[in-house]
Amino acid sequence: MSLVLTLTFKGRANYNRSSATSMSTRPILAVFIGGQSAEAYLDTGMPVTVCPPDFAATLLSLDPADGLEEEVRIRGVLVKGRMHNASIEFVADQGTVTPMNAVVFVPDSAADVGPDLAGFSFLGMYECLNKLIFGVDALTEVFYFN
Amino acid sequence: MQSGAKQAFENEGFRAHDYLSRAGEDLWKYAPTNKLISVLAEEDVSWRIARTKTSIRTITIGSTPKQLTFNFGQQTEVTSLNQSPALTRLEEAANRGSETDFLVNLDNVKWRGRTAAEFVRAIKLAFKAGAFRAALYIASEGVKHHPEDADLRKYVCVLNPNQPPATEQTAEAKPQANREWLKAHAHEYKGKWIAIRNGELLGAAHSLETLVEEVSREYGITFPSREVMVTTGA
Repeated sequence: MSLVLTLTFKGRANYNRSSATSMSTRPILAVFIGGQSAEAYLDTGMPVTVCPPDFAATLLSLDPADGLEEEVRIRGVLVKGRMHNASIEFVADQGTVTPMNAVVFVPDSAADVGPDLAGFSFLGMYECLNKLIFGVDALTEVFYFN
Repeated sequence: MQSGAKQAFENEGFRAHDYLSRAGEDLWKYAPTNKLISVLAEEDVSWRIARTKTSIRTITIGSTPKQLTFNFGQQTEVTSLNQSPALTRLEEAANRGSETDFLVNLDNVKWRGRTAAEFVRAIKLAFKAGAFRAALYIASEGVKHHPEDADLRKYVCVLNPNQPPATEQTAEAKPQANREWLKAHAHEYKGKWIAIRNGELLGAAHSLETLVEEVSREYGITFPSREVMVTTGA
């Protein structure tokens, strides 16, 4: 017995962009974070979207007074940093994109989250991915979203 | 409790309102009876167990009212609302990093009567457990009970960003061209920040700050930029 399920997506984007990561199973997507073109891992295991601190300090206009200074648990480790709101928008190869206002966590130190945070943000679940219906075609490395 | 003894407590600004029900546990609980104590009760005050120096069971209904002496602040007897059993279980779950245990115990917390400080404490415990959605739930409950509290309102505001951002229609990065460049060249810039536009490298540097300064100066680009992708070499 097969299940026929019809989902409608507004956009699609290819992921996994470079030769060094072509063996990686983790999707890297082109995104706009706070209006800045960048790349980010799609990570449904991450409870919240995380941005590298130097990226946030240099490129995002985040007012410390608007943020929350918190200690949060990420991947089983307690990490100190600040929580802010920032716009996130996927870059579509095809289709249209609706930007969203997301919760973004900026750790005091990128190393607290892991070496991969140096250079890449992580698109996490809370108030980011959980606002979407999305699908991943791992065979062709395409991310579908609306 | 005899009226004379009760009046004595009132005069001190406290009321031992559930003495009879709790006498068996040797526990006194106070409720505010004047404005000053009401204000204090709204703060993050430490509530303490007080025990009579004499055995509590010596005070019986009908006995002669007398001045009672209490021991406050003995370390072993001090407790606070922050350490009420329900919040203690939340704290234990948070310290273990167990979101599941935290959420299970969250169902047992009665929020009525909690101070704003207790709500904030519970929110922080939720973050510590990795329970972000629970943090918003607690903050929302907190605002219901303390609508004027600025801290709780800020938590709700940050954790529930419903307003869609204003979109700025400007020149945008061409993902396909940039992806092709990255596939061909990203490995040459391992450990460096790079800026690319329409499949063309604009600059590379070990420091993002340096990269942004150089690209801004050389190309007259203002950051943040939708046109120039900033990322790192693989």
